[in-house]
Amino acid sequence: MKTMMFKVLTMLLLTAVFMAGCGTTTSDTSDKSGGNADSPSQAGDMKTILTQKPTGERIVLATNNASDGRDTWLKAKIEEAGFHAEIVPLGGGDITSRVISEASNPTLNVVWGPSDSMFESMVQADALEKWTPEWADKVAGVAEDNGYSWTYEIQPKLLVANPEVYTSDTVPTSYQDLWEKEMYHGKYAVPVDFGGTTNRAIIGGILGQYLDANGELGVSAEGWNAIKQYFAYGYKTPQGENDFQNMASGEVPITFTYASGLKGKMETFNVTPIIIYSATGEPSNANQIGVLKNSNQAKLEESIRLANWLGSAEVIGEYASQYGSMVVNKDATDQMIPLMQEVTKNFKAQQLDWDYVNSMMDEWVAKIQLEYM
Amino acid sequence: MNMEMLKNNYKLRKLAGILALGIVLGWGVFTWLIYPNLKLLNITLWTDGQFDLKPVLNILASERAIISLRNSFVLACCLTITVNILGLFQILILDYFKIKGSRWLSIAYHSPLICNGMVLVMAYNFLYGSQGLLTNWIPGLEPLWFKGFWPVLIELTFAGTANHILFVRDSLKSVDYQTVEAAQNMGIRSGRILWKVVLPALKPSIFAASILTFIVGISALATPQVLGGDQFETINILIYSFSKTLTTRNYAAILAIFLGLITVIILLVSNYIERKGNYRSVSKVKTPLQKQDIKSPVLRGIVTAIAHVIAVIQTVPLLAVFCFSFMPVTDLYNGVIDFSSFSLNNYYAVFSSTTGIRPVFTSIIYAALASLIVIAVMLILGRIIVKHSNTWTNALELLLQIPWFLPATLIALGLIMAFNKPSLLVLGNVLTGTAFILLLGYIILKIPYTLRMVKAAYTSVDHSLEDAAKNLGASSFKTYVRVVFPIILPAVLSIFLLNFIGLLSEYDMSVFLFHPLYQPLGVVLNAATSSEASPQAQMLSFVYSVLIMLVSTLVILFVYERKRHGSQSSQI
Repeated sequence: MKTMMFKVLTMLLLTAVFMAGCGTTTSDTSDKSGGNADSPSQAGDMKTILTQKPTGERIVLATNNASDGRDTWLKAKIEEAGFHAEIVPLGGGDITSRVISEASNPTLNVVWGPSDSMFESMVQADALEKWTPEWADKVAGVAEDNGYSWTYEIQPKLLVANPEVYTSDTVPTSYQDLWEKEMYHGKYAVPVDFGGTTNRAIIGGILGQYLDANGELGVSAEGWNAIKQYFAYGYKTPQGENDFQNMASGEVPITFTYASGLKGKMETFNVTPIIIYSATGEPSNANQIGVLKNSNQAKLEESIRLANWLGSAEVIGEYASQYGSMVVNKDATDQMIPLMQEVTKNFKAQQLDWDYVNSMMDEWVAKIQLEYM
Repeated sequence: MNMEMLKNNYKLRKLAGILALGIVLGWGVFTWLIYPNLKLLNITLWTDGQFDLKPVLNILASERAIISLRNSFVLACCLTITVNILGLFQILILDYFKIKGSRWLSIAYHSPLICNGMVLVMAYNFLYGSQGLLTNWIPGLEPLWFKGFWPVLIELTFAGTANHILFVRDSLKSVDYQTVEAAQNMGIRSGRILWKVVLPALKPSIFAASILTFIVGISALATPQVLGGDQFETINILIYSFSKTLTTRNYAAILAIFLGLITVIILLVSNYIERKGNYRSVSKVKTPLQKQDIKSPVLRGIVTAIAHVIAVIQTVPLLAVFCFSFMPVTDLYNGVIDFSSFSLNNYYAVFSSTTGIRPVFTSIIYAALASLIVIAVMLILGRIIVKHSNTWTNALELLLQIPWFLPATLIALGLIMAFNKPSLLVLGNVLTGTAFILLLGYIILKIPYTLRMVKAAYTSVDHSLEDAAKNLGASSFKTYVRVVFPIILPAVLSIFLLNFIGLLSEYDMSVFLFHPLYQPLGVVLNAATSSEASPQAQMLSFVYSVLIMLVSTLVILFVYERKRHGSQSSQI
């Protein structure tokens, strides 16, 4: 038995060595082909590309904005405009991993919906094409201009409370209130998974207030204690329960949501919650649209045209009026539903070093999962 | 001289054959099982060419991780026991004892084949969870009564009898009735006959089912996630969530290695035991099993009652899923059934979406192809492993079980990293972005299970039948096709069935590997029901589940028809 095990191990080792050799050869060949695929498009003729009519080339559009019939709405709009697109509904995180892992051989052409930090990692993976939409100046200043991905909506995360349990005087005034004041203990929902943008923004919004270069993972001991208490006194909504439903029924009367989800959730659960504007401001992110690199120039140009069209005031404005999103294109903002107009007016974006916060997020989340959950 | 040449020629040909086989196998195992996974581990664990020890230390220091690991192990051990008890009880009820209502019981006991995984867990939750229907109906019931270790064990037990219903049941049916009669004639009590004559004959298949159950237990994810709550978390919950984000994949990989080590030890021990204690029937002319009366009326009453209660427990969630698919989301979360608010809205939403039900067909094709290919390949490899037990085949067997040690997400990532550039291993082709890579992924995913079951099927074949065929002058190929294959065909069909059903709504691997124009069901289902979608859209999962149950039922009926057909012809 022992000698057999030894032989097996030796064999495994040999195979591993063999694989190491193979690994180098494959990466050699790939470098060469990688160089070919990267044929840069001339940035100068962006205008000519955008003024051309759609060719009808088939474009694969991946988006996390496809549920609730939005895909059928979008498909009809796209065809009306003369484009030919295949809509692939996927979560924001799934889109991002896919784009990054396929950087050298993409299957997607246009990505619509992931957050600015997700796009940042796609840019770093060298998967995106530089482009400038015609409406670039209409969304200027909302998020950092990287030349690759452009913002069409912002997504502040709002604390909401049950109007029968609380009044506007008794709701918490900041996230800190939740764990510092005993009256809120056990009354608020906390995130339980950390793949989604909303949940990560909530964590960032808290830990980001306690940045300390000398602290563990850049956060002071006070900050870690704060997040520990936030989770200790919060309600971890299990799968199979819905936090908004719990809020509406009063069982866990405080929860949080991304702004554009408000309309649908209020209609579904038939509740008009108190929207809490935190003293420290709302953690927020910008949702963007970008175009993937492609060695097929015709496809690439059509992709840019489609992305440009999708973010234009006319299209995105109608989207906002139908689905309650908080769009930023200055020519489209007046088409937002009244609720979103009101939130736009009242919310205050939390001022933090979000670039740093986002860069640390994975490690923070790992620590939280291992130690505080 | 002439004889000598012939002999040498034969030896040479045999050697060349072994060499060719070795090369093909070596290439296959290396390309599909070793290279992608090593590449992944290499990239995740050796950042900048250095092994980062910090994640290992962090994990060891984390109380949550250690407790989760322990929980997974405890769950796997308990589950192996409970599933065996329930599974054996069920097959005895169906084929050994005379019990009233056996037709309905048979249908009910097959429900784990039709409805399992996440869907079944959600059904349990909306029935027995904190806002579940039953919890609301029974006044004074503590809302969290169905949370923690026991609910997880109960759900997994009732969901985990598929292997018993399919495989162990087949070997019960092939027990030689003459042995039972002989024991009866000797005046042995029926309980003792069951224990000493019938059950030992099932040992190989019980053994295989136990290992599979253990693996289900140790890698449980959806059930503890929903029913375990804070009190009972398992390690795969952590692995899954770490494997989702880019920079924490090293944590996932390390935890997966921990889990893999436990599994390897279990498999090595089980292989050892399996080799030691093979048990085979000695009878050459088998008499079909006859159902037994339970003599004591009290005992019969109790057994009948238990049998029917189990049947109800197993079918209620199915009916619930069917009901849920017509309900608005608010009723579901409130735990009320109001027939007046039933509608086809959820169905309408599915059929009118841009993807429609195309994903159902995509998944059927992928699942069928992958299940066919994997069983064909494993029939050959399994035969080699069973017939020639040596260092090489032992190593081969161990390597083929690699996909059991790694979460599907990581296997998928490994495939992408290995084949997103032209690779010599696949003749300079790029596999990512093609429709093939998902098929390959599915095949890889199902290798360990298929091999395990094929092996169990081969070991149950009576060697003397083969020897007889050979003595009569049949070539080994002919012996295999005419003698061995017909005997294991029922098992082969069952393996195909379970693989097919398991792949129909696969998500973890599909989401990374699918071709954008051919979206499989799991991906569409998940996008519709993710936290980014609205609560109402989450109801679509029940519609898809009903569709999956329909497809599964049709395939089961088809396979059973084939099985019946097959056993008839083999009897002739």
